[in-house]
Amino acid sequence: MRGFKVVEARDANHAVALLAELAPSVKVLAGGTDLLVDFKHAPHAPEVVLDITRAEDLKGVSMTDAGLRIGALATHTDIMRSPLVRESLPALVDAAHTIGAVQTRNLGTLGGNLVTCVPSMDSGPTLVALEARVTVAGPGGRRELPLTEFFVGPRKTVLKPDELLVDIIIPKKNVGKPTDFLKFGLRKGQALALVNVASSLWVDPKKTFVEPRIALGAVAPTVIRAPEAEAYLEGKKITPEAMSEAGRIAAGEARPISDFRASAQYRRDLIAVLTRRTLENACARVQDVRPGGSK
Amino acid sequence: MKRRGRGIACMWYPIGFTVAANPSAATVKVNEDGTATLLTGTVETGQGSLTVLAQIAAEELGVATEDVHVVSADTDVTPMDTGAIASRTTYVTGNATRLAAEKAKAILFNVAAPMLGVRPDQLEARDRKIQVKRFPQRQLPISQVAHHALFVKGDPPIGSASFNPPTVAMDPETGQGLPFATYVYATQIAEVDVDDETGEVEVLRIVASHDCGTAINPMLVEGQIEGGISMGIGLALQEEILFDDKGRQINPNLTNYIMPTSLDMPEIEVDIVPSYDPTGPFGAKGVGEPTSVPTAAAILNAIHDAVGARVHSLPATAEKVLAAIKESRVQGTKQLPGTRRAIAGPAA
Repeated sequence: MRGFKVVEARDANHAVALLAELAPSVKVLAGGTDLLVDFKHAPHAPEVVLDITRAEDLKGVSMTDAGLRIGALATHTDIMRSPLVRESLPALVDAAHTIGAVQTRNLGTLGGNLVTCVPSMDSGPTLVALEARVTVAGPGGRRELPLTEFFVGPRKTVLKPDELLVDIIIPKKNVGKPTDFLKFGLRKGQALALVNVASSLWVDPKKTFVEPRIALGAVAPTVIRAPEAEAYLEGKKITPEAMSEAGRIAAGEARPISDFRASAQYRRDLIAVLTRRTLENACARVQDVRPGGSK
Repeated sequence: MKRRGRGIACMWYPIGFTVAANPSAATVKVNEDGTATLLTGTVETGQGSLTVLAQIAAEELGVATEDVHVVSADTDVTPMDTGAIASRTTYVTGNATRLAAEKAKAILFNVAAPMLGVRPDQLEARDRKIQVKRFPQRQLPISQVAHHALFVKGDPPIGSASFNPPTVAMDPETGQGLPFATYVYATQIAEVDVDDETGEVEVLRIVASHDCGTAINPMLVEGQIEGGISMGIGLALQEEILFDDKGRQINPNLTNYIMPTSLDMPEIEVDIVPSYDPTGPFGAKGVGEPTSVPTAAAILNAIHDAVGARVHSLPATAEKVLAAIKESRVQGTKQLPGTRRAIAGPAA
């Protein structure tokens, strides 16, 4: 590993000011669970590392007028321990729990997971199924965009070198929405996902699906929605057959690859099964929650 | 749906090869404070073999295990050992250690006999003392005898010995012979849940019954069996070195070379079968490699019991298991076991 200079940011605005000064040969250090591993292997480490770990305004989980706000610096452990998240969106806790090992979860941040943007990221699908939005800060101020537009490709986001991911917001209407996340890896602990899936849904009094949302990970260049499967379910009566069919449709919407870990066909099989199961599990959670945002 | 199955596998395994020279040597010296020093060329690899060798020396000398200081694996000073290989350390190095301690003890007995007014063959070493058999009140502390041996008799109590399981030439015509000194036996039973939609196999429980001769240190035997089972689970379900068409390894790291983590480990019940091998030190044979021999076979039998499908290549990854389930359904040659075995899936 080559030597590099470290600059420390006091808060988000200070970090953005420093980025404007130092870009493009600067990397942002949050948990370091991806960045420091990359440094060890990359021949060209950046000249400067901007350490944002002391920026308190980038941390924490809170309820705002817009919805549930998770600071980009919130660690996976912070999310697992947050009473707000545990109560309103337990699927986010389930997803955080599958990331790496205890040490990775203690250091790694939600923002870092999204910015690194590997297709198999475990925090992506649940957030996408909940239609999360992100706030990005740069020299021109702050802008907000849907998480799905934040992702561009494998290890690529819309962030410019002088921009910073500030927070992730789950819109108020989806706080408390019954949601489920499932991951399939090659072992129980410390595994990359072959496929991960999250589904969220409301159920109306006629026992039909309302606003079903399905997100698939590790089966396309980025985490994706399965809009055809969602459209198929919208307004449909909740039956095992409907959920199986939605799984089959979702499998057709993905673009999985074949590699040494698994074949594309096996990944499609997994998408169909996991999608159906997340729908079943989300339905089972319906009676557990008060549908505050339901129409 | 998750389907439960059980599978059994048995094995035998050879200990102490005799097709070629297989020696271990050891030196044991008894110090004037009553402690002992053991020199051995073998290397501790975490399995606790040095503790077992110290126990063997201590048992022979009648001292406590913590009285034995072990100096090992230093080729400048320690005697020759064939190595921590072939599940041979307890048997071969253990025999050399016991013989070396026996020689040091013989010197102590020769020195103590006139002090106690008996013949050397009337003595025994116990509880850090040299005492007359059946008359334990007639005794001397080992420290006193060792001191007397060193500074009065000029006969330091040191023993060196080697053990080489007798080499037996194979018949060049038939290829037959006696290739090993002794054998150990084991049976393992695996209980698994197989997800018949994803092929995922969860090993729930393994019961392992092993013969290792005398278990000199039962807790270490259990540890070895549990460790061997974790390797057996990796062999059965996960571990595979993959190469590209140029022969380079595709997965040369622990992210992609999948080994079991603590979360993948089942509940393990260990049963040590009482047995005694007269050719081993205090009846001991060995337990190292045999522990992982039956595990994969038991797991694959359990998979078959659960879903009626046979996987014929290792590791039985979830993808292979699912393919085998689909194939067995197409062929219809095997019926899936009835609902008796069905248990609740993750979502009813």
